[in-house]
Amino acid sequence: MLLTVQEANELIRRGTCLTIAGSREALAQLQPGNWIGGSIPYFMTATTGGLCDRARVYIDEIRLPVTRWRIQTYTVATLGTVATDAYANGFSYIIIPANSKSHLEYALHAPEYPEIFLKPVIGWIAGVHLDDLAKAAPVVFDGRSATCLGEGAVVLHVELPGECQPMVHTVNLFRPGTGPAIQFARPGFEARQAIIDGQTVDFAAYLRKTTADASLPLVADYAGTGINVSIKAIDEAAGKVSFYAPVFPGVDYHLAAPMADYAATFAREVPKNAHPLLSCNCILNYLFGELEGKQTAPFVGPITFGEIAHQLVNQTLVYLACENL
Amino acid sequence: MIPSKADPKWAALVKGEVNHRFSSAAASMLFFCLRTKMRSDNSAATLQQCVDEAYAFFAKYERTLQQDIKAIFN
Repeated sequence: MLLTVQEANELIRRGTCLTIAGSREALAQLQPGNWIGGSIPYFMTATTGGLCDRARVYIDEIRLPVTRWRIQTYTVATLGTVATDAYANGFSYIIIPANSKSHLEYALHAPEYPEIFLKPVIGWIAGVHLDDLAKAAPVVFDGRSATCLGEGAVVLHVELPGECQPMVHTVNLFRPGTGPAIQFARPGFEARQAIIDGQTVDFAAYLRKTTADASLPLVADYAGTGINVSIKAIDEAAGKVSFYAPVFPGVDYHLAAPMADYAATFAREVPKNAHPLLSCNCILNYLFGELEGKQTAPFVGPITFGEIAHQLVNQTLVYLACENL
Repeated sequence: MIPSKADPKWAALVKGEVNHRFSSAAASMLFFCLRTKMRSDNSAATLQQCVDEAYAFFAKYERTLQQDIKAIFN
């Protein structure tokens, strides 16, 4: 729900367990309490649909029959225990500032963290208003002391009763295109070269030559689930391509097939029987899918600079749902 | 009921010899990760570790993954 700072503070005073998204300025006006937050002024709301609002904050109240919960902050050095710290039955909600060392660490190494796929870990990468990319830094907030952090991560670990089993789901509307498989020799957020049809090529030049649409991600098939890596910039002069998530060696990527109308495809392909408890969607889907003013309910939540479904993903809607056992 | 870890299908799954498309993102990511691990080190110890991880995942999400279990082990 989208609330004014005053309304949010009233909710915080009730002691409810909350996750909050909003501009840094709005979050900085919130009182200490049982909340974690991250900077981003873009949201998917139940009433207005997609919108940008620097003054109000988006709040998800954990409405489940929670048995226990705790807020924990992590440093780059301790991020690796995020899943082992989680309750045996429950979920962990994580927010990491974009472009921080912890963002890089999580992007590259989360798949290696113990129990990272066994425990549901959902969350997002905090960002800034797109007009402020050059002048503002993304931050997260530890609501217990209303402390603003530019590095590390804030996590809400939630324990649920045994009859409720949460799972993280992804909705990726992009499909691999018909072009050749693309591989990379090294992991990282940028690549100078790629291996295509057995040949090592200048990847930036290849993308220009093939008139690739950089709004489309690279898609890899992870045993049934499409995992995107979004293209951030193609710098042909410097001979490099940068990404919003790392590419990994030994993985076959394909440029995604073009999508004519994201909002229409979204409406057609999202699971109709889903009951999301928490969701987030990518800023690139918001931009390229022109989601401002368009409805994505029941998938509501922050529009983010990266989504976390156990590991970091891009251009993907992520949500948490519970199965009743 | 999921089969015991001794069922050879577990080893085949983590090695990528069973080409199953999982219904859950978590399962897909887990098996992608386990297969990557097996490609870099196919020792018996790593295989056992990967089977243990796969088994623990299926044991926890047995009910949710019923369709996958049926397709893989039947």
